[in-house]
Amino acid sequence: MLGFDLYRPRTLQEALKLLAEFKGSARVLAGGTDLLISLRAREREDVKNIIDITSLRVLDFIQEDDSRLRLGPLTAHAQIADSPHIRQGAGLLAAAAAAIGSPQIRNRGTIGGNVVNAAVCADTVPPLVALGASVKLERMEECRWLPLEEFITGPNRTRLEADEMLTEIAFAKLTATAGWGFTRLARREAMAIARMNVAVVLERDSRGRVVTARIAPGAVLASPARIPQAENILLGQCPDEALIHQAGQAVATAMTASGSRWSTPYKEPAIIALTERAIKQALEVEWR
Amino acid sequence: MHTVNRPVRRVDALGKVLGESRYGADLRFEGMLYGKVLRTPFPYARILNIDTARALALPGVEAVLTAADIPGLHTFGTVIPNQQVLAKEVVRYHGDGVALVAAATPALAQQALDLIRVQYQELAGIFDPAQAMAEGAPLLHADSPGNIAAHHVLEKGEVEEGFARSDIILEREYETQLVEHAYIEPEVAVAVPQAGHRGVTVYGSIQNPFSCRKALSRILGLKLNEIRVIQSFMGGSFGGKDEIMSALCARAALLALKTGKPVQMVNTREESIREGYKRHPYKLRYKVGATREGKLMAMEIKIIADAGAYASQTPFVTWRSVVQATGPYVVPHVRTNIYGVYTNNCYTGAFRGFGSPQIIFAQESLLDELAEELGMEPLELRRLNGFRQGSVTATGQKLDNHQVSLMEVLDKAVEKSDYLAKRRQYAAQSGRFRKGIGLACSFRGCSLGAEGVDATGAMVSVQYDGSVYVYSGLAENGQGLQTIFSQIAAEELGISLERVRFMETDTALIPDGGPTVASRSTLMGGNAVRLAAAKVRETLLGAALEKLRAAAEELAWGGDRIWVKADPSRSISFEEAVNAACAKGELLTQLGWYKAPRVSWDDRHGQGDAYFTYVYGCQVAEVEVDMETGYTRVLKITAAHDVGRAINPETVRGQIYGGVAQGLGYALLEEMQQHEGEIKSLNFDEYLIPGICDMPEIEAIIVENPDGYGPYGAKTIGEPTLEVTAPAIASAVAQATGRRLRQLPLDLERVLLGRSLQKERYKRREGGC
Repeated sequence: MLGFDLYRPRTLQEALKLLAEFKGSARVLAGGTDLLISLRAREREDVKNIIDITSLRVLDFIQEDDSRLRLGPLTAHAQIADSPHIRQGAGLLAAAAAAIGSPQIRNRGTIGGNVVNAAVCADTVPPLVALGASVKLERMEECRWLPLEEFITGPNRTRLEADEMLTEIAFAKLTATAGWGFTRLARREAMAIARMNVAVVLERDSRGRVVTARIAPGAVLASPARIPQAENILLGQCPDEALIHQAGQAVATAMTASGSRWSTPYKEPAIIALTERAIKQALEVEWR
Repeated sequence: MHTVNRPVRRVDALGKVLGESRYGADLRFEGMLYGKVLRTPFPYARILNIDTARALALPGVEAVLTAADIPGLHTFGTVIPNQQVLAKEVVRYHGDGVALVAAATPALAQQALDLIRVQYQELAGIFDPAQAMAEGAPLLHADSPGNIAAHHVLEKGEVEEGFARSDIILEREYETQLVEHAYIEPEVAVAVPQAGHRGVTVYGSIQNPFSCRKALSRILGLKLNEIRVIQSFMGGSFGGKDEIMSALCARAALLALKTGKPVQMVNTREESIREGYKRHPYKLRYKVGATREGKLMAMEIKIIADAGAYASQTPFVTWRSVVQATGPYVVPHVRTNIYGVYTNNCYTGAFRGFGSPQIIFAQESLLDELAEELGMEPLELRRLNGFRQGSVTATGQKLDNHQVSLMEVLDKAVEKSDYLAKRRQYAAQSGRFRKGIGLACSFRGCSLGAEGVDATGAMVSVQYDGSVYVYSGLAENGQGLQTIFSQIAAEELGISLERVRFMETDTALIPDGGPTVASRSTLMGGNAVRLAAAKVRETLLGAALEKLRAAAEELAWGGDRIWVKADPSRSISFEEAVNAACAKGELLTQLGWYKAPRVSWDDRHGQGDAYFTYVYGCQVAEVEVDMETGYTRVLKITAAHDVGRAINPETVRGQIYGGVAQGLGYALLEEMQQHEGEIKSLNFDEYLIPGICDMPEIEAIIVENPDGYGPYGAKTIGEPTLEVTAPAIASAVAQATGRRLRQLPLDLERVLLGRSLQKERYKRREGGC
């Protein structure tokens, strides 16, 4: 049976105060696309208080300055997918947000929720990692920033303290010369959780050599990370088919090195293909 | 024909689209309580003790019941009544209920469930049918030696001789999966005690009101006329709201009669999936012999179907399989053995197709494999062996009383899909994305056949203002029955469809006409409506004759008027005819009753005229496979189906689109995960069915060869549309990848690796993607 008290704070300060007060028996409700389901399934009987922040519009923003993009945690996936700022400065994030669930879920689900829920298959996480995003965590009269890779420590596990709230996600915009790729595999066309995804950002010099490579797969490692072994294969090179394949293999190797699961025999060959395709997208090479 | 054979709008569409139609869960009665059932945590266990005291003490709880409180029998079932409405001594599967609660709110009812203490002694369950059949295996039902729920045999010719005379013999094993109906509306029942006398009225998402009433009579110890079952609007059924609804209605009725108050019970999706029966998983071993030229000589087939904990429809499902197991092909020598076997898995029963999707997947895959061995085009092998007028089936039935249209549907689907050119085009491909095209066909016996009594009724009642009621013993389950029946009534009476009002199925108002199953509604119920309307028409004609002063053969009907053919100015309106008849005290309400033509069956040899008529269908699937991930996209399905006559071409197309969608899920996505008797995919986040974005282009080809028995020649469409889709897709995937997969579904792992990994997942107790 659903038994909890619902609070609707009018200011961020009020919300942080409630969090401090409840010491871990509270959960923040943003889009509710994960929380409400786990409550209904009686998986979160430790949650006695729900702090509904949906009316805190100060947490719903997309801001762009000369070099950076800043997102409020309440920004819905649909807003991210449609935002010209994000499509321009972080196209892979827009592509990832557009691939989530269904229109209803994209309208309700938020990027803050996606990050804090920290599912291994979260679609926005690999792009944010590839973009080098950091998250702002606030508590009463205190705030700190953490790189996203440090923030998420494992499947559904983060460094968020009981009295903290995620209040901003920020990263450097991609330069005009950067290329990006985002690939995703699911069991059906839409409304399907990603089995794996890969985000890639590449920058090349005027001679076509890769000078920056960031490759971040999702649902491959227990917690999100870039794969330097794969990136190093491309760095300083003009990637060809063989090199791209090597990079894909490096991601697969990193996955198998992290442990073997029931799905590994399938995921190993498939992640190679997904990585290759994401790299080719970033290089703007026809991959079909 | 002015209404029949036309794409009129569904008569129930507007209410549903506007959200005004009331479903079972929308019903409210004064003082209504909410019921919940406590289910066993173990798939197989002995119940030692049930302590309900704490639950009963909870304020707001009005009743807590166990099997001990059941006034009648605690079991029910159509063929072998061994299903428990509440488990008495032993729970046999993970969906069995052990106690009931009625409380003032759903939350209180849930809370009360948590307070019931049940002591179990866990027993070693059997989850593999092969194990259940093995010698010395413990018996799950004392009266079923070998745990056999059903065994059907078919012997035709001399199968050994057939193989001896074959140039090529192929043996293959195929396997199909456990599948959920996935109707949009979970089950709901509301039971209301009848005021002033003994009895109960039950409303709900009930596919078969009369089957439900029979079960309730047995369980409640009430006479049939003390139980009234009224069907609510249905959010889909596909065969799935039969026994589970009998159980739910019985539980609600037990609580209602105990408390004297209305009781509503609504399953959550998780409860629905956990308790509800599924489509049987089959293991099929086929041995086929053929000549070098491709003539089929012999088939030997052994099939094992997992019946799960209870008999349900297993005897009938496996019977349809035994009749149709060799497909629409002439095979002179056949031996088939099919076993339905009890296990402690979720029980299996009726699901659109009813024993056909499994065997068609096997037999169509086999034909393709044989064609490959022979170096023949699969289409040619089918043309060489496929049924034609006068062919004899495996059951020894000569097909000569209807148009045997297998070649026609095959030719039409092949031509429209450009099958042969594409088959050649896709023969040699390289690269990451590869296309394939494949076909599958079937024949299907219409209605119940030799399963048992096959008769049904309908009532047509013309009111004095010219409006019309239609009552039917068969029920609207979303398939479009009320539109079809309304069209037939309007056609016979020569009136516009708007005059006709179809009434919900109510067991108190119409005779028991059997269940709404086996794609029998249009054929059987349509005939009953037509007979009833024709009788009323006779009466009206009599009244019109006097008014128009003409002989019967001089009159014409239609467009709400009756006129003299030779002089259309001499006419009366439908209302005038009705008034004239009423003024004479004539009866304008008639019952139509239609009994199916004769069928026959010899149980020992599996021979006889199994069904009185058959339909034929062929689908061609075109796919594209991602060779690096196994992801398969269906690009197009071309579906040709002989329906006899389309009463409503638009609802026929709707059936084809829906059947293809369900068949596509069966082919690529759907596999209910069950580990040691426990259903693992309890909601649609884990159990994936196709969405709109997965749907391919579907070209529906309606073939019409009017049948001598059907109303206006109409036969059947509901089930044939689903049964051939998966084998057609599998065949296309085999062409694209160069690898034949013999297990459904063709999910990512099977297409890429050739095997599933799901069993490993549950063995290792790992979740996630």
